[in-house]
Amino acid sequence: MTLVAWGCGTDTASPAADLDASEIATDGGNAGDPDASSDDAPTVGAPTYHGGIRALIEQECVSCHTTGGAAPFPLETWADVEPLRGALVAVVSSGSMPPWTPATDCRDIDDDRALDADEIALFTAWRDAGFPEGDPADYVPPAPRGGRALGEPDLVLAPTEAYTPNTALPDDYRCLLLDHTFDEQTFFVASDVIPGERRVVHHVLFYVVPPDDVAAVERRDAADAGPGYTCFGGTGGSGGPIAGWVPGMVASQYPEGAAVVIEPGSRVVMQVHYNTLALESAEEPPADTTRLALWLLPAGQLPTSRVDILGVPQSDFLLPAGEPRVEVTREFTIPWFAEVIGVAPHMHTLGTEIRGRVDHRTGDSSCLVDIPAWDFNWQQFYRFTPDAVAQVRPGDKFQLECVYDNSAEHQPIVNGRQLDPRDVRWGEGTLDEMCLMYLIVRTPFAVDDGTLCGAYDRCYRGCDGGDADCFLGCLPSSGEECASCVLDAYNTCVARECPRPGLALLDCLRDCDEDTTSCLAGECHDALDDVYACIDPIARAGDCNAELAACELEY
Amino acid sequence: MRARVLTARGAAARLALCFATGAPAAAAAHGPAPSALEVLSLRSDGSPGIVRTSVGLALPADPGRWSYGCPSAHGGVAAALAASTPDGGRVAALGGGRAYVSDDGGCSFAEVELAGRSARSVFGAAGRLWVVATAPLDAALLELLPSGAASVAALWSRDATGTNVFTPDSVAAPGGGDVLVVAGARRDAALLWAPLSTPGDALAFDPVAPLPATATSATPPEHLSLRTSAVSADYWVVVTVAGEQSLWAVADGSVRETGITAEVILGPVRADDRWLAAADGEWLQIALDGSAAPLGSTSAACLDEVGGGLFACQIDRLMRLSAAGADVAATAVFAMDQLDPPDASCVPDGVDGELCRAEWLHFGVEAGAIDLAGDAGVAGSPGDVGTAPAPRSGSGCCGAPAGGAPRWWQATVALLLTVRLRPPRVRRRPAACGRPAEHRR
Repeated sequence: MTLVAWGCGTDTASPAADLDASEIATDGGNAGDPDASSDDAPTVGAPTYHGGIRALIEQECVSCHTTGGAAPFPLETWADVEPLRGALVAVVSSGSMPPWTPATDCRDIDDDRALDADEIALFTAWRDAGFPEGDPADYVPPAPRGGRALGEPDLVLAPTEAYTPNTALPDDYRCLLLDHTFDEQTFFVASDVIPGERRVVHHVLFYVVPPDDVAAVERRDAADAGPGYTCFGGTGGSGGPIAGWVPGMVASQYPEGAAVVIEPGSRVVMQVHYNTLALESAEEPPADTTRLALWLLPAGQLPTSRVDILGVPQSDFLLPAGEPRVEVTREFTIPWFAEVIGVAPHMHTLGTEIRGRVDHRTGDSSCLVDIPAWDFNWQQFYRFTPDAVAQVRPGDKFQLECVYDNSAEHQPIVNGRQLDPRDVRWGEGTLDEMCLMYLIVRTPFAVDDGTLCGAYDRCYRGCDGGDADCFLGCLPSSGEECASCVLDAYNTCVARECPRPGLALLDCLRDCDEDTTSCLAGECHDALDDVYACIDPIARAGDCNAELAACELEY
Repeated sequence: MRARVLTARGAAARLALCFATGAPAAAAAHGPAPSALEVLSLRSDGSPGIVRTSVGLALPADPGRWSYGCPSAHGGVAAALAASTPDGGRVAALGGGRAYVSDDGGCSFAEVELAGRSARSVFGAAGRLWVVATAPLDAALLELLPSGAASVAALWSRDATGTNVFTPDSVAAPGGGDVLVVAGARRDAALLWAPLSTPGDALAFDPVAPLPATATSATPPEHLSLRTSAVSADYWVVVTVAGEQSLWAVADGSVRETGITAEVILGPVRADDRWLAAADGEWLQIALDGSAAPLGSTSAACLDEVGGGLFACQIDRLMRLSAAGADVAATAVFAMDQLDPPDASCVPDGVDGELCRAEWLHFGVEAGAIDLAGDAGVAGSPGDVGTAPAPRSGSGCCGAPAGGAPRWWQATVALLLTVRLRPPRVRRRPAACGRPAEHRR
């Protein structure tokens, strides 16, 4: 998967604390109106630039509208903002800025960039008051976003050599191996991408290179002249993405206790899309050194859950030339007990709508993301708010729907020319298409310490009490022998301690026509929850230790 | 001949003259560079009138200036397909499957009732405006009448199999006017013609002639695009097959493959007594029998004949071409930074007006038409939208010094693209493709 033209936005844990418009300092009438065309004194109590507007702009706009950033002009100072103040309010009022494409009635997304009604009202009140600058002393910085201060990164990875983009290619896709081999299992809880030359770095994706693939990727690197290698398509490795950056993004933090796991012997390859059209014609292209900063769990500390980014594609489709609406769908049966903590939808330029939802075995349906007006230039990872993560179980169906417009009206403009319609299929090129949704999945983390059920034990201890899904999610990673032992132990203990719900569960399983896992995930899940709610506190109190002793477990 | 990418950088290098000057300010934005796409009409002096760009319509204003036409006036699609009458008085534009028409030169638009169909493409031909619109059960060629209504000129319904709907990809009037030709690749390729009569009348289409073998080959065409001239009854069809383009010639009642194949074919257009095309970055002088002579390289992204004038796009600007002897000369006639704010009289009140101002801010900055250091045109009160921007400082190699000296685009630059004595690089289909023997080379 490449050719992502992710746009300005954020996928990160950072912004969390929204400004409360009602708490913003306002101009008390002392600030003069810098607009020479207006002689009106600012309205008493009206917001001013320094008293409210500045903080909102810094919070919502400046990550893109920064000097040398992706946006065409900065909004960092009053001098930047003043000449644009009228239009600024217009674009904010119309909702076209800040750009935010997901429908708001689908799922709560962390760091939602869309302004709420109070914030928009603050802008319009500022306009109505004559755009007063106000007193710099009134400035209150926006609250830091994200729940945790990151501090200095533990590891900063960089390519061994700076890369100068190839200006013969408007879109230069380059893979660069980063200068670090992970000697031991590593857990990172936050990442931040430090783009080098922001004018040309269009987006960046980081992929882990598993130990078995390192040699092949190193050979590919060596075979291509210059730093790194051309990677319009894949990176050459089998590892999935672990981090990404688009203009406007800030650091990504995972939930408390969750981490991305990198196995010993792995490396990381960075795929950068350089957009060289950003350079003036006669300008020498700059050498770029984009880096990846990682925050790790302290040595010896293990995560309670792991985060994986898993792609669900539909690659078998044809978009006939001229067709104004083609729908492509994919149904994917969820194989895990897990939490989907975010998504990253992806199509190319012909896409118009993309949606993802989970049809649960219970008959309920959960909307994950709904982008009714897809914009190739404004893509990003969307992470759900903590209370909006989606619980999924084996047998649930993830439904992906992509809609395309391949009519003449909707053809992309490439190098100044609007293309003629042509038949389009799945492909890596920007003029090909994709129908792809990345699911950011959190599952219990199990560590194999060499004992029969050490991995299960560590995983189970990380589960919240009463969560049967977590209990079941720990079993697969603990090995068949342990899983069998633990289930046998629980069977016996449940028969003794929780006979009534236990029998109800057995009855349900007996009547269920599917395999046991599917039954526990679906038809019998309520019965399982009843059993678990009964037995879990008993087990954690040590009253099942006699049965669990066979599994080398004790509570 | 194929796989030659017309890059902005390569284009600048090849032209190497003033055309190589600065990419628009837009280049720093996160998206495609603002581009001039097409000339829709001419002013009375023969200079471009309405210009379709990737950020919206450019509407003629003072000499050498254009006012910005807000996309929100016609459905909000910045690079909307559009067409106009030759004088630019009536303009049609599409947006999100809807069609809009303007009777005041693109200032204001009204939506056209399409009876539940979705507009797919729009054309100006024979001085009239045409829209191709589709519904699940039919495809229609609609004429946009001066009354604002759409009249069904032709309707193609599903056949007995329920699958075979012809849909025009392209509509044109070769020779300026007596007949209308439509070409389409779906579901089966067809090239049809009909005599034109009174506006609003239904048209009776017949096949032009048997189509070449590519029309029915194992890999059928994906798109057919007509290339006609106002001064010739002969014309061309650019046929897209498997992402590659080839050229058919239509003359003397027959349709022939020329064997000219490229990734991108621009034109052909009629230049004096010959046809001029561009294929994968090479100017070609071509003949209806498929013979072609290279004239040198070009970075043109479009090549159109409008009202007898020849125009070529190069990313953010337009050149008027003239061909004399072996030379092709180009005169810069439009650049994106010649855009001024929307004419105040064209900006509606209320929310629509704010939307228009927002579009101008967004796209005007990207197009290099707004100098944030000097322009007041985008700031302040809603009325400011009509304020002319402060003159931009000279930019590029021909940047004019301060004090009102001629701006760079007023310079005429001759591109001496003399015929080179080198073998043609036109790739031709093998004889096995079924091209008649007399056209094989």
